Amino acid sequence: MNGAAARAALRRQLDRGLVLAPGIYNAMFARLVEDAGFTCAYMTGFGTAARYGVADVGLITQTEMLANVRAICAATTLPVIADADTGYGNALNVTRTVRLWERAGAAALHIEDQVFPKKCGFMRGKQVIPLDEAVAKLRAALDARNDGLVVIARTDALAVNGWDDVIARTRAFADAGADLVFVDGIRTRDDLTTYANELVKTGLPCLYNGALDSAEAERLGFKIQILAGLALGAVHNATTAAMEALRDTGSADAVLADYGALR
Amino acid sequence: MSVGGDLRARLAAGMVVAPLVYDGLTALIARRAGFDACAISVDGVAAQRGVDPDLLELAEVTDVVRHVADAVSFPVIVEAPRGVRDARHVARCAAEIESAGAAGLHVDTSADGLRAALDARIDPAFVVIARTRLHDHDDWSRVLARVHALRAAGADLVYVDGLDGGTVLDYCARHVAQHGPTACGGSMSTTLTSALGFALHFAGAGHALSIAAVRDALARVRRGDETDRRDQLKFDEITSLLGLDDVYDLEARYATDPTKGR
Repeated sequence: MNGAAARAALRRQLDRGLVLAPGIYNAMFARLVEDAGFTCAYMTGFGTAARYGVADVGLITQTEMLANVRAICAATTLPVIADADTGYGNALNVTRTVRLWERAGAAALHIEDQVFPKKCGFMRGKQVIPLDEAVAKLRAALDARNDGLVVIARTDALAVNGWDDVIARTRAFADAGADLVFVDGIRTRDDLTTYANELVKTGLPCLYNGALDSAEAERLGFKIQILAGLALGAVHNATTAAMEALRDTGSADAVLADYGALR
Repeated sequence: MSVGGDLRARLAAGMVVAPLVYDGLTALIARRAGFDACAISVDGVAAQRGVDPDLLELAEVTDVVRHVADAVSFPVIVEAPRGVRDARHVARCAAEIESAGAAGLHVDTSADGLRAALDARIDPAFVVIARTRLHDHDDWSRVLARVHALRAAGADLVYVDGLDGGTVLDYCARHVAQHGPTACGGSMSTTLTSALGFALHFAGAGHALSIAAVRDALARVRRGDETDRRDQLKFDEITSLLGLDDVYDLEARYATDPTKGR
């Protein structure tokens, strides 16, 4: 879809209620999200790295991520929320990233406060940059957009510094003008409750990355829910079963039949 | 040994089963399951990129070949893009696919086109497979004539595409596979094709299964059905497959003390 139209569509959806965005990492899966009747898709950096056969630890470059944003946005009329990692450097790099993502057709992106090179939000060994630097990068992102791109400020501080720092960071991001904030690395029910009570209920527009039932995520007041690992999990499990069946029985047909895909 | 030489050694040892993959992840899953080669098809790459298979470009194929070959250390066999038939195109295609890291390619071309591919090799061990399609009601004498011409031109293997098992497969085995190195593709059992004397089988569920699995997972979310969790992300299994343990090892090996050397 035309980028500006997709961005306007996403902003309308955000006014109406929870936006549920299944995670995909190629153009083929983006079409399936649209076919299934969803209104938004999420491009995962973890999945994009997996597509290249590497772990999500900052090895994938801005160029490689951009190629995937472009292919995915070209394949669907849905608004696409695209992972932009750390923005691939400092505020200057963020400026370029935002322009490139916007031109590629993204409706939204998220930029996080990890030290570059980053790690997936659920991996050990993450580090975060100082809050003032994170805010400066966010301001660079907001200044660089020129066509309604939804800018989501992500913090990875939960695993590093705990909730007090997360609350300070997300409030600073909202004050600086972030459209939404995103606390990544929510693993437990307690963390989810804290996220809802300390941030969502104070009026901060929040993104939730997790597999909680979407009706409940909406009840808690989240504005966006991403199912980041949806396509990746499905592909990994099905392909593993098929490869093992091929190895053990000489044919993957039983697995194809199990998924209703036998030609 | 070069990847081409590696593929030749594996072909010499018995039938090679090359499962269809379309990205780094699916190639790594094939390797983890114990396969020692994989195949990249035009349909798989085109689907993944959201492009009509007839319009898929060489650069789009080599991009995938490069990251698949980088992710797995075993031989990758690649289908040349559609419409690449004349000698100049075939030559460039073979050179590009080889330099992207493939061990071999298969291409539907004439004897002249095949000779161009053979001449374009950088490594003489790079495996050039001549594909010929078995059409419905094809006259076998014409198929056998094509096979003969392609072998005479120097094809390392001939790939008879369009065999779905049954009597056609038996006929092809008797008249083609038992006379020279022959590849096949399709869902018939690899136990059968191995017994029939084929040298290489492009097999597996490829991108079609991924489409079905993702469709299934999306439908489950739409239904709000939390009971069927076959799409559940096995985080540790996937990150380990993608080499996260090596990443931590490398970080430890090259760690420096930031307080020193300033």
